[in-house]
Amino acid sequence: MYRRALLGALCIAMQFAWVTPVCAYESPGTPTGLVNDFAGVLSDEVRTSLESELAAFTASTTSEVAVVTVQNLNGDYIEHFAEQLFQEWGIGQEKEDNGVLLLLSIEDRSLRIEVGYGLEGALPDSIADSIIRDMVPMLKAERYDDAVMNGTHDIINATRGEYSAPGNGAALLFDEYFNLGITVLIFASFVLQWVGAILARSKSWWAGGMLGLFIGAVASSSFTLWLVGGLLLTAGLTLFGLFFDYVVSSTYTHAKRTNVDPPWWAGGAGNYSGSSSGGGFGGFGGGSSGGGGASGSW
Amino acid sequence: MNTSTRGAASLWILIGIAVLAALYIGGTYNSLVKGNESVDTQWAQVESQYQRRFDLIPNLVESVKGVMEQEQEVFTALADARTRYSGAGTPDEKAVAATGLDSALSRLLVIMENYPQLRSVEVVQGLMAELAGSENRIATERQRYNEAVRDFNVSVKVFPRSFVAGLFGFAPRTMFEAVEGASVVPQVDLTN
Repeated sequence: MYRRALLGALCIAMQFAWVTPVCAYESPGTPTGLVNDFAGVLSDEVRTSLESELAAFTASTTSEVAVVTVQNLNGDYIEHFAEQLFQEWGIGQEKEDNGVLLLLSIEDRSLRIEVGYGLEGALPDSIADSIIRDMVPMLKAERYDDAVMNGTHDIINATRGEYSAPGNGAALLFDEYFNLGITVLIFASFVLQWVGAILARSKSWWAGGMLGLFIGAVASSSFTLWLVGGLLLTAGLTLFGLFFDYVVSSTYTHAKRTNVDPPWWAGGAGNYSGSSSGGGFGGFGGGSSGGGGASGSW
Repeated sequence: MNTSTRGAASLWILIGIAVLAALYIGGTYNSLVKGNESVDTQWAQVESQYQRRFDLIPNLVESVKGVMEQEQEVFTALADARTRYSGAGTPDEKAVAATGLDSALSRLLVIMENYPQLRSVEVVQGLMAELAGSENRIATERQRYNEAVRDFNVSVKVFPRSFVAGLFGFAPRTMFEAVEGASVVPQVDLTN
């Protein structure tokens, strides 16, 4: 079994040696939930009860446990397949990397538990291996429901204490960001009004363009934007500067000509359009794994 | 337009070009530094996985020594390989020593197949799982290291960045290559 794992590991490592597609990973699709029964071997009751159990586990601990069954691996090794799938879906939260993937390939008769970086302490390879060994007799008898239920419960029990949901902390964070946003907006509108007043006094409007060009160039170099992006940003800011100065200057000159006070240009009234995500799975948290876990076959 | 204003205009243009060039070079240098750092970071990941395997091996040896008393040469070879690994300094030396450790370990594992009674020992099972996991982690981190090196090499060689790279001495880094003979599948009996 170690030998087989070694071959799988070799496959992952040689991915960049341009070896012929022995290790060809094809995505099984987008996740429809925490339980993804692409092979269709689980019964409906088990699928729904597992889904709600895992969703509750994620809500209380933020750890994401994903269960995936596929018909076959397309000739790939299960270690490589699991690692690619884990990275593609990003199981677990991005900062904590607290994800676990339980992957079964029915035709290849092999399975793997892939553990994210953050849970390697709670679910080390030896425990993952013993969970798999407990599942193997049931899988040999084709009792997929029992095997997956057992394995998932073992995984939940092993990883239960590691992480907990932030609770009210999330709400506080939103408040902080909101205050920061308001402050920036007020500050920006003051600056804009001051700059506009200066630019307005001169009838010509190339000064605004020069200012935009300068700001764009400095921003591009200091934030090391990609060359084309930086150029686009600079061009955009230049155009904006030209336009802004043109509008402000012409308004000013017009006002002066008709002997009326120049208007007050407050920030535009932004319209807020919220996007609602209805039912359906929102996707995983973007966590990653380092190749930890264990494999088995039946 | 008389010659003095024409001269002044071209001077301004020259200054503008110089400023833009300086900003471009500065930006490119920063991104090259970042790429170099991410390659180093990823190498550190690879090394920590080597270390993990290195630390696991004595446990395995202790748990099987009692049963495999007559296989002393294998244990000696393994001990030598471990010493060589801890004596390695530069990343290149470490990579070579890790390969030596790898082959010494495989020899031990192949010989362990001759002792079926070891398979049922709980401790040995756990350690074998940990070692297999270790190999997988090494492979994963190596793959990510190669990705980081590839991205960095591309950014160093691409025109016109190659000029800035040459100016500041950024050279392409080396990737991990498969060990010779690794593509040959080892013939091991896996009947369990």
